[in-house]
Amino acid sequence: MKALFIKDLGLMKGQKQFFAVVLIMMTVFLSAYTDYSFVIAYITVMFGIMTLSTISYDDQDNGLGYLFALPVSRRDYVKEKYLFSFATTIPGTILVTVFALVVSRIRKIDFCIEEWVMMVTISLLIVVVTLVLMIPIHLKFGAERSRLALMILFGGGTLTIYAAVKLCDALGIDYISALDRLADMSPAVTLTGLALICTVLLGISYRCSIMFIEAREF
Amino acid sequence: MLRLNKVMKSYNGFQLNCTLDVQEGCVTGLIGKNGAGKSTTFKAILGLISTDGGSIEIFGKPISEIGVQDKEDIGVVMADSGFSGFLTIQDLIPMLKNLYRNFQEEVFRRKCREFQLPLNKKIKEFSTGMKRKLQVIAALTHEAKLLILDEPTAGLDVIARDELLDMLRTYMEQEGRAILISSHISSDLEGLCDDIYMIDNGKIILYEETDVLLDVYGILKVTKEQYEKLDLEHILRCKKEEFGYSCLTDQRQFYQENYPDITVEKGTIDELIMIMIRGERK
Repeated sequence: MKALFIKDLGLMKGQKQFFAVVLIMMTVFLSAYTDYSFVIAYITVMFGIMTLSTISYDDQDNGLGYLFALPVSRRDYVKEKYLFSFATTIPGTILVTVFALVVSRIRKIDFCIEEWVMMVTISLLIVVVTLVLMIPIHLKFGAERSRLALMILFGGGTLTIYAAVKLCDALGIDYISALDRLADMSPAVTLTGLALICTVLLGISYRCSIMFIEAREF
Repeated sequence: MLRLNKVMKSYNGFQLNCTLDVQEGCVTGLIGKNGAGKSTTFKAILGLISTDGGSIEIFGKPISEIGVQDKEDIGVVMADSGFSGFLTIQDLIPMLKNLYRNFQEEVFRRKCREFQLPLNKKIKEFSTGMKRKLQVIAALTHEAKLLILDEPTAGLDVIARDELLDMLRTYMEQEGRAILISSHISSDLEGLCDDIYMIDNGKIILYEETDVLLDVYGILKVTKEQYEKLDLEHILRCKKEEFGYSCLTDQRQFYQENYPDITVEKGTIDELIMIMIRGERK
């Protein structure tokens, strides 16, 4: 597992352009705007989905096949990908927060903690949903075909939501007030609920990833 | 060390049915034309593809029981893949140190220097030969007991190939080791392998010790008239030629003694492959 972490850090080290873009975006947004919500969300999501690029790099030129011929188990590989995504998201969030805090002090701008909590929560949700979907898709279809699979998945998802709304309307189910009730819940309950949902989704995603990678031939 | 018993794998229009054995202390070659099933066999051994039947044993264990620790005792070179091109050798060193308990960092660095592999250049910028050298060096520097080498000399110049074969010979000087190697350059195998399997259309069509193959097998070059009078009992395959026939025999001496007027050649492994694959069974 440690070897895989070292490999992924090596892959990240080579992404100088990515980090340069992140740094430029961070500097531009923090110096030009007074609302830091967007930049915090942007950087958190960018760091969060870096794991996906490591899967693509591993997969190029059948590299995953060679990796699994070395003392690397397929289960450890999957486990490492989920852990690596946490290991990149959290420092990314901390980095942009510290940066935003320092700039807000220098520019004498109010740094609203409630807003920060909300933005980080939303960003982490985006990261979790993206990874929950994309890690298994990348592992099942490989980097190239996963784009097509994702398009089909999003198309299917949108159609399902549309059909569900239409069905609720047809059956007279008041889903709007149900959503309102959700929005009215206390932040503690909401966060706990979201954390639970995320944990369940990650668990399902992890199981699917293991199943896909174990069935894959190289 | 390694045993494949009737290992089956079917793809569209291709069926592998392979039985082979790699003994401790031996270098075993697997030869055959492109698409004959060499890489499929290697992938089956390495657990990279599922099989439809048969069994594979490494170090006496079924492949399903081969874990990460057992894999530390295997060195691998694959024909169609390798380390991620986005890494440098410098990135690989700590990774290999953590993958293999017995990784010999100094030897690895020295071999990289000897083969002029730059430590800080991305692997994707390496030539095919350089990538192959890197895989071979990595396979040889962690005290593996078994090397599984699919086309390790592909893309190498003559000098690098010679150096690499020397490294493999040195590797085999220690007891308790074995190599399964494939190469399309038969001279590599002639000078290295103790025994050779020939594979065609997914099936092993010939197995022989290399010495026997080179000393006892032979190729008869005969005219049509000579062919008609020939005792075909020891003829394995015949191939029609402009002058008549080329016939592969596993009893060269018999024909040398009994047919002094016909041309009997020793034959290289390339010629043996050619006749085995293209010739007709007698």
